[in-house]
Amino acid sequence: MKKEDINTLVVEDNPGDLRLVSEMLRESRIPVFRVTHAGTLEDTLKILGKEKPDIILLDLDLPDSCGLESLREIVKLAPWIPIVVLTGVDDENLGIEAIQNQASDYLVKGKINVGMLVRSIRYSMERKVMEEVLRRDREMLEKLVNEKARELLNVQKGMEQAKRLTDIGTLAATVAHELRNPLAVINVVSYNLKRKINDPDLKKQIHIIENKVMESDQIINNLLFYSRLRKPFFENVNIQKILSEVIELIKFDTKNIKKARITAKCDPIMNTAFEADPLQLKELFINIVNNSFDALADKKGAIEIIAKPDINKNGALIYIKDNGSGIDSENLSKIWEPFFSTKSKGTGLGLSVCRQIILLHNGTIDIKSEKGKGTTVIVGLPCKQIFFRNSS
Amino acid sequence: MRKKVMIIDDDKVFLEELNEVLISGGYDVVTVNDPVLAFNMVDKTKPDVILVDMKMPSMSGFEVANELKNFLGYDFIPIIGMSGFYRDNDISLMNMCGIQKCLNKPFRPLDVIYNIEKVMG
Repeated sequence: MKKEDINTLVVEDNPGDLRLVSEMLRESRIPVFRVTHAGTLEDTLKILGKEKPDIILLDLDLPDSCGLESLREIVKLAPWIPIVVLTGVDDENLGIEAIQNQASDYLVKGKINVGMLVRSIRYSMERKVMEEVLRRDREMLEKLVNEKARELLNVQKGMEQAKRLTDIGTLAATVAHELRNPLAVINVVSYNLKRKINDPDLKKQIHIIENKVMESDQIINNLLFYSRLRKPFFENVNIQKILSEVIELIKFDTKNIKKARITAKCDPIMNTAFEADPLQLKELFINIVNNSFDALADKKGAIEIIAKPDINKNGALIYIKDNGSGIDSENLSKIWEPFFSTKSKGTGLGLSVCRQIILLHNGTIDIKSEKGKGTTVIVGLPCKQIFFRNSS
Repeated sequence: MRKKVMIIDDDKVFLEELNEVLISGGYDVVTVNDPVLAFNMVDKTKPDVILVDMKMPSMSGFEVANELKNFLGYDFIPIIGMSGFYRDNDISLMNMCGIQKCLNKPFRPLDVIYNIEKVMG
């Protein structure tokens, strides 16, 4: 059986009609039609279960089925096989209806010749191939459209999130500014009051007011940073310089002057330029060192900062060590949560801000602590951000 | 000789309180509540240093400084800004307008005096 031969299944119960069609098909040399025959719908379906004809010629008037029912049954079983419907003279409407029901073509019995038959068969086979291509293309298009729709939805969600953050950021910035003005006035008034008072108790109370003002300012700062944490503006920074600036700032804060001794030791390698956001790094270290001061409470303690290269990665490790009250082991896992705090003052946002900044710098942060003995915070920072740029 | 400080701020209360701080610090003080009037006052009183609020309804501290330094020729008077917004710490903008330093509110009054002395050299 040659590949170019066309397997034809003729479904026809009238022997005369069958003979006519078969003879016509036999006349064709190119292509050659290999004809099989079925007289009932039942037989047809059985044959289709075993064989794969290239084309079906279907008489709609069968003993066990009538009208378009047989067409529908065959299409259901084998939708990929083109069907040419053979109708009686009075049934042209039926023929058209058949095409509307997935038949590829129809022919009127008694009004066909070899040429028409062969042409119809070849036309139907081509049409079926095209229908298959169209159907596959449509499926692929649908899949693509669904994918794109999903992507768009994600982008939209991302944009909504960004807008929400921007709105919060704008709101936070506005509120922060508004709050800072009255705070500034309170500060100046307190200072003026203190100067005119001799009573040490009153002076002490005014000092409390001043402290609370600065505390409020820190809360505003943390809130601003948390709500507005932006992508870092990476610059070449000198870690040693940043650490000394932080220490200067902390020492300048008069409430810290009496308390603790703070030292920093930087390995000479730390003079190489690190790609980082200097503002965010300063915020990070200020937060950590302030925590150390809080832990020292009333004791006279020591805070030690050591910066050295990280031998495993191309970066640095910065240790901030204090001998303060330490952290309970049960709290150690919770300290990163926003708003978690064991202190009576502050927002509890400090460490979560620190962690965000570290994440934005592709660094690491770790805390080791022992209750009563002290705490060490270890910050790891990569030297270059270039490897991470594409992933954001 | 006592140095003269000009304070420009739309908040009258803040102006008064800051006035008191600076007088106790040994300065002569000129207060300006409406920045539009500042330029005339600078001409009249010739301050040694100017403190200006960065965000005022009629004019920003940047605009005041810019006008003084780049148009009216007062580039020899150091200017210190007072701000509630981090954004005002834009160093390039500060340089362009001739603002030497920006103090972030709320600041300690002693910081004002420290910085006034610092910019006057």
